[in-house]
Amino acid sequence: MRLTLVSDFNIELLGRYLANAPSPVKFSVSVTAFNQVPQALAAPLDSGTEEQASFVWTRAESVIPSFAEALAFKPADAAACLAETDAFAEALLGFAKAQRCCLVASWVLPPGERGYGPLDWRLGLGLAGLVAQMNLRLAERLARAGNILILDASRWMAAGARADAPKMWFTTKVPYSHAVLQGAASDVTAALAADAGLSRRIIILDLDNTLWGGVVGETGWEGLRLGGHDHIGEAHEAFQLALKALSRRGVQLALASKNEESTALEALDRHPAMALRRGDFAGWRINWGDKAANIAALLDDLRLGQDAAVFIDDEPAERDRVRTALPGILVPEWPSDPAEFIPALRALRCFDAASLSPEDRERTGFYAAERSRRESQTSAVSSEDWLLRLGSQVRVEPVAGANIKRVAQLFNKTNQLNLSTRRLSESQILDWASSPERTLLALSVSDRFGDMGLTGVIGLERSGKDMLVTDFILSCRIMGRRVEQAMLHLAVEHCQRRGAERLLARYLPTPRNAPTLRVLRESGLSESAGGIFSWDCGRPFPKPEGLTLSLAQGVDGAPA
Amino acid sequence: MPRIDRDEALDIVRGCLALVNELLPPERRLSPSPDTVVLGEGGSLDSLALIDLLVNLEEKLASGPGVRIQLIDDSLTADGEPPFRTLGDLADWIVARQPPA
Repeated sequence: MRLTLVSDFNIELLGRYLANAPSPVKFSVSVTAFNQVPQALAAPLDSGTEEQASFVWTRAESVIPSFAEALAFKPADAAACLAETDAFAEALLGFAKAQRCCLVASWVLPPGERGYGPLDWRLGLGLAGLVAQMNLRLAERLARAGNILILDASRWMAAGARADAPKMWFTTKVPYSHAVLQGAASDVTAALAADAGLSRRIIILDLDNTLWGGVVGETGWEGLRLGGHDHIGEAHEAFQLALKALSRRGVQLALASKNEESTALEALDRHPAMALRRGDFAGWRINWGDKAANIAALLDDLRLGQDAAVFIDDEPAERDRVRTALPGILVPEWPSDPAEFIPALRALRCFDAASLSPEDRERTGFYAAERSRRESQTSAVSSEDWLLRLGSQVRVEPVAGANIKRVAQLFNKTNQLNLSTRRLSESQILDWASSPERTLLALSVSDRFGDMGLTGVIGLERSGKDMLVTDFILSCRIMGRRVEQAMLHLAVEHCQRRGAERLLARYLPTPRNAPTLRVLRESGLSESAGGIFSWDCGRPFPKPEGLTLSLAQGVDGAPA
Repeated sequence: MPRIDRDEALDIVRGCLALVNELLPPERRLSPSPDTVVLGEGGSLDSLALIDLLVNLEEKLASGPGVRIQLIDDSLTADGEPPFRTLGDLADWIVARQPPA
């Protein structure tokens, strides 16, 4: 496609931005001579074999002579301005006829122009009111051409600290700052993508600390931060409302979350401040599996390609996993502060559409029906490379005064990956660990995205020839990154150093610790009746590939 | 009146070069080396890109170290040797155009 730029000012810099902008639509750029708008609009674009599109960006004072008079504070003649607007619209309609798509910038007052101050919206006098009337008239006249789209230039003017560029104007006839030009370039490429039907159509969302504040598996739906007299809760509720609004214009919503499905769905169904309910989602994958594989399966179910999807998650590592495994999905960087979620959502131009049908508005219902018909199907996408690329490092240290507060938190707040769910105070923990037959280790985890801090605890107690795992606790933020296997590796090494023949772990079920059972079953340990898992310590338990363990002083096996 | 030395001037030139490079295709982007030729024979910038660079430099010099100087003048278009050829020369030229302390 060839994109021709028409303007009354020097638009060459915009042409350069567009020529180098990432865009799903391939196009070349040509720029007509500036300040020859009537001539350019009167001459049809050279058709050839290439598809043609154009972007017409004018300043009202250049193409509507009566508006130039008004801008010089001569009495405003609104009727003359509108008649000239009609003539300009007719020229645009003729110009656009043979094109695939013609983009037209709305008119704005010159940056910084205060017009008549507080009188500027007084119709028949003010400039702000007059330019608004002219824009409305232009939109009315151009509405009959389906291939003309009007882009809102006022947004570009607000993009940077300063919209004008007076020195560039006097030297090169470029009136606007780089921020304005960049905003225009982004909107033009988004509009061309929309016109080509390449808008993104679905947002796949994480749950914990994305759709709501907190971790539902830890606190239950009653403990989530959502709504209420809490700025974090209000920010998450407002984000949900913004997503719901977006879904009414054809953008579908879906979920991909590492959680127990029943727990997450219960939160969607029961939390009183939940703006998005189960029926608002076209589909979901809520389990402890690899998020990229889940998203691939979800898109397959919904019969959507990667290029239709946007994935939003507060966790940088999950974003990287999806970005790496599914490169067609748009995975925007996402702020950690929920107050910034709505601005981040609004900054995405990929949902711009060139049209909106009743079917678009009903799409959620369509997918809900489809979901009930189709069986789940998981496409396998290996997560091995991703885990290797994470470069996880686990630092192991004895539980002591310096880390006891955090260890006690993990003992008393962790629900999902918790073998025995012992609730103990700081002093009880230290007392328990003081016996020479017992070992209590704290694990801190980091990877190339950052430090996640102290997130795991393992407790071991000698019992004859056996070593019992008394505590096996890991924050849900770390689950699925093979730190669980590293903990078992540590435990078996400890057994070998202490001469124990068998490692034994007894799973004590609670309403929330089913993930622990899953980890044990997938670990390779032998399972016997009563939730007993064992490992013969004559064999080493393999350390996960790509994960580094470092032992601090005081831990068995630490360097002297 | 604040003044800057050549290294500081070169840092600001390199910062402004990033904006220039955004407008160029990847294969034509300019190296931040002091030896990169920008003006005169073998120069990589056309007149619009050059003016854009100098206007940005004026703004960054004023908003950063507070050096207020005019870089766009007749010497850029006069016949004969241009006032600078490379990014390093440009840094020298900026330093020389500062008013005396």
